[in-house]
Amino acid sequence: MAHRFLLLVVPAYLLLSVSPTLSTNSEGNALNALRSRLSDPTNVLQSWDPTLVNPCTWFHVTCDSNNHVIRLDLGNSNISGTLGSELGELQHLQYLELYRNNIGGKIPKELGNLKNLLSMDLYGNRFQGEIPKSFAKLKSLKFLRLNNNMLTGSIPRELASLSNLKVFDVSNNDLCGTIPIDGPFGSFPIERYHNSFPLPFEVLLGICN
Amino acid sequence: MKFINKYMKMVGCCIISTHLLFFLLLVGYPHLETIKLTLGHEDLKVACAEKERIALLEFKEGLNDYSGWLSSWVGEDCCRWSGVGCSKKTGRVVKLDLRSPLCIYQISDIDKSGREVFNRSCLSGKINPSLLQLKHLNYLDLSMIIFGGISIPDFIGSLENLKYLNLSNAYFAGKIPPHLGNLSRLHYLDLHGQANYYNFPGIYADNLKWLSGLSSLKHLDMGDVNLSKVGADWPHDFNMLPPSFSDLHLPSCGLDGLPVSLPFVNFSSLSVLDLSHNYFNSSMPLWLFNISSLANLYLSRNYFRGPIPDAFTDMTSLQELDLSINHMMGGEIPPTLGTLCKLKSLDLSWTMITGEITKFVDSLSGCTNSSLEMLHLGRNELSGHLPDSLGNLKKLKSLQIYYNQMNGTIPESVGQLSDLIVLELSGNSWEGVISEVLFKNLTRLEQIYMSSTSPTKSLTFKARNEWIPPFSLKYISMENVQMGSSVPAWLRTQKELVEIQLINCRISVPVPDWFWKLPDIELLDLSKNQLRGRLPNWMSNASEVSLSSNLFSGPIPMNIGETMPRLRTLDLYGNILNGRIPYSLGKLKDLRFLTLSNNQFFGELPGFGKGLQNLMVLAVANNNLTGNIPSSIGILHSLRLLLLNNNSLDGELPSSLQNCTELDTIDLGENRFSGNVPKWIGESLLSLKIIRLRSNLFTGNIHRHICQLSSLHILDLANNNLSGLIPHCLGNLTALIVIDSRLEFLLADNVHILVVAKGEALDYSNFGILFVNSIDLSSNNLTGEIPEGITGLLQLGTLNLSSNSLTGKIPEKIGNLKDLETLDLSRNQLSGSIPQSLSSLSFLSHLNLSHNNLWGKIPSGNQLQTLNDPSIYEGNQELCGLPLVAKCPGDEESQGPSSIGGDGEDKDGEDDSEMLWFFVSMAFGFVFGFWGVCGTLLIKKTWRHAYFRFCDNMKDRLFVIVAVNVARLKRKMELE
Repeated sequence: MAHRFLLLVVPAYLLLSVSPTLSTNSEGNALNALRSRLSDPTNVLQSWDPTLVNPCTWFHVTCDSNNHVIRLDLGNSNISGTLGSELGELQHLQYLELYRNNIGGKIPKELGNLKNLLSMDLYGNRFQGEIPKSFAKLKSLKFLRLNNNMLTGSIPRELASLSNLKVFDVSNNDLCGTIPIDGPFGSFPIERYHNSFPLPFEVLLGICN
Repeated sequence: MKFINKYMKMVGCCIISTHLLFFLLLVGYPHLETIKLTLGHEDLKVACAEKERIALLEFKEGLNDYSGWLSSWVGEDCCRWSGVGCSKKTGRVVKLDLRSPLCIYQISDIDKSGREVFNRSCLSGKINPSLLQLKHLNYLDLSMIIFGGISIPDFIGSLENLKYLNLSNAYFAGKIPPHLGNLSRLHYLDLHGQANYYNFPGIYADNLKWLSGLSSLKHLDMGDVNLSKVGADWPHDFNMLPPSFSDLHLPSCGLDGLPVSLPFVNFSSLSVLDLSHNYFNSSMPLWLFNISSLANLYLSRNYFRGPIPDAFTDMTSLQELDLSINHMMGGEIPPTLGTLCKLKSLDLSWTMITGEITKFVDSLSGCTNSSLEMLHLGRNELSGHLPDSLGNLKKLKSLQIYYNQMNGTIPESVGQLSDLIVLELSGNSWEGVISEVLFKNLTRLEQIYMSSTSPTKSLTFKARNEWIPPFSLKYISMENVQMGSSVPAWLRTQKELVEIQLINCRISVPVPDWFWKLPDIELLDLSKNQLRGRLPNWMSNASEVSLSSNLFSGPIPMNIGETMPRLRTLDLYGNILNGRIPYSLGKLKDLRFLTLSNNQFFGELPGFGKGLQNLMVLAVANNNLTGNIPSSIGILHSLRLLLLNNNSLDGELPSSLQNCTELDTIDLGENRFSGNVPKWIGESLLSLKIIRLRSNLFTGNIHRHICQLSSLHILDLANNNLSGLIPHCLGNLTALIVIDSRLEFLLADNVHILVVAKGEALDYSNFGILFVNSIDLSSNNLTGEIPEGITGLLQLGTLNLSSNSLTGKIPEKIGNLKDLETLDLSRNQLSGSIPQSLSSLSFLSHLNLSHNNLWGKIPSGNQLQTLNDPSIYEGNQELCGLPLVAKCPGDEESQGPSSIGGDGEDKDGEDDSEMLWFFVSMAFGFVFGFWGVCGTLLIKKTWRHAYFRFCDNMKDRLFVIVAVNVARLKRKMELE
């Protein structure tokens, strides 16, 4: 009200801990919503100031020249909590790096809306539930690492349509059913397998209930 | 920020009102007494006892009385002296009240001159033990006498007739004498210390056992007394006080423990409990809510956790409840709070409460006669609409719901709140139209604050041009509210306006002349509109003026220093102003913030006169200034932010700049400054946090003195002609090593700092800059090696040393820089291999090692796998492996197992497709290896049977073989 400028002697975290959604930027809002779901004991998200017009100056967030978020780098950050549908609003996201944390809950199906995604690293968390079928929409995806979680169900056959997929790791989960053999899965050069098992029949992961 | 201002103002108001109250009490009351005493004196002819008169004079001897408050202390009859009261019957002095009404200090004036004024208007000096001669004294008030750090004398405890003792704000220091516990007749004890403005140590107590002697006590104030050492069971000591004890004030005592339970709660008459501004960090203990006599409960500014207990059922006497500024609480408004029909004042601001307010308001409006006058819920996470039932809270005077997530329209029922003085609804997603009709009955309204944060919905304030409002506003703040294309005509009727903020209201019609004649404007903010034309030659006593982000053109009136003599803040950022910066600005003694950035000012910076000693921010970035920085800049002793980036300034930095020792940010980037980066920067400007000298013509070495700047967290010397070595001591920059709390910072509108990071020039205009830790020495002629010590800067987020002539290796421990997001070492002559530790930097999102002489295999794993643009490694002849096309020798054949992502640590990669397929195969390998066998067994009955039969057979065979051999062995041994 009175002073346009202020000399403040306030712990900065107090200011940042208030999180009114003031940003007019939907990507900033999405990230802020993500933040509200996460517990962040080591304060890696402390620079996430929701009052800014865009999140490009926030740590662990990278934008392109049009101020669209293209990377989210929060691997090894000691964060826990869950993910929400709002992550699907980061339409320009190319790298979603959330590996080695304690994030649980289901993988939101809205992640399938990230049509520019090149890399999704969710390995080393506590994700449960199934691999969303919607991942089949991630046409640009090259790297998909979901290993070392508590995922259940089968690998959706629809993933066979991911023609750019180069790295796919779902080991150390509780998956069942078969590995699809079409699409990128089917073109695996068999001689590179260290098992001499004959292909190309569908590989069984375990019997689904 | 707005809120904080408001908060300060609120505090200010409180202080003023307390002063007023004291004034009334302590000035009005003694006057009455004097009249009575005079009558008594004439009737009974009882004169003041000589012994007491002498004692009083001795006492006066010890005091300095510059203001003449005690000038009446002459003559025989001491009962007539100001501040002295005698008994009607005996003539003995029973009362000594030396609180001077002349002694009023202003909290905002904390500079040296302010202290001087304070000292001269108040009594000061020593306490003479002659007071002990006043045997009948029952009332002693020595508050606000400056005793300058002496301890409270023990002998006060011998004035055994005292019923009233006030030693507050008297600049005592040291331990409270336990002797005070002898005052068994004392009703009222005020030991309130002074807030710690000048690092004054104040008084303390390490235990409170002496309290038990105060067997008549009703009122105790120990605010600002340091009680941090009394331990967590301090409530027990108060529990011992007599049942009649009613008022307890312990704000700002450094208390940190509050027992979860008390064995018994003795406070049967306690009506006021003030524990605000301490360090309690537990949940709110329920025993507090069992004190049913409580009328006023203040717990604000603590660290209480968890929701507000829903335990108000028994607190039927509660009138004031202040839980504000407890950031860790959260939860919803407890339902039983809505049953308190006597509640007059509720403050839950800054408590992170969530949910809607409808139920609470509905419940309160169910009271036959709601008493609620003040409802403050600002800065929370409340959602939903404003309920219609709000109109039933007829006594409401102040409604503050700023900065929440509420939405919907402003209900018409607000118009029924005819007592309303303050309506503060800014920072919510309001929509719809507020019409003048709503205000028909709001005749007392003085302050109105509205803003809508919704990007999609709009809030409109509709009033006819000829509307004459029933109220007379003092404060109006509208942000992002549509009010038509011109300044509302009805403002013309508002003759008492003090503050006007019309921000981002799409005003494009030039401001009419009558507006500039509104008499008492102190603050004017018309920023973010589309106002055109020249700046008015406004004759005004305004102190804060912002016309930023408009389309004003032409020069600043040359005589602004005379026409607006009270200016503290002038913000003209982001217009198309031109001309020279007027010299007369130098006359503005109060000027603290001058922001002229992003205009077209030209010419030289004017010399700085002595008038500008208070200037804290000088921002003239992004203009067309030429010439040198005048050496008179050294006169700006208070300067903290100097932003002159992106002009055409030249010459060397004047050495007088080292007198600006308060400087914490200096941005001279994008100019033509030359000469050395002065050595004195590291010697004199020890508060520097941000140095930005980017894109100039500086030459010479980076002096090692720069490493002494223990607060420095952004160092940007990029794009100059600096040469020599990178100082090895750079690894000692303290602020980049430890998480310092960076508690103090200057928050200013329209101050922007550009930091090149993550491949972009990022614009920081907010306290977010506090967290940025960056060293950018790129594009110079630096030689030598990258100092190993740099890997100790654990907080570093950006390291850019590109485009120099650095040699040697990349430090092996570069992986220690856990917070590194940007690492650019490109375009040097670095050699050796890329340290494997790089792959452990999980926040690294921008890496460039191109154009060096690096060799060997590019490490892979973890985060490095996401940095797969080959260009970040190109131009290194001998580098191989992913993501480059060049394969490493030996990679063709050996496709040895390596692990990816998951838990395999940092193994090497393969060439593009091969490695990727290998990863896939690895995962599959596991799957096949395990399930290929077990799975088959699981589903194929015959195989399963065959397998287990085989196992059984094997077991049997083994058993037979072992048994036979053992038997053989035994036989052999027996034979031998």
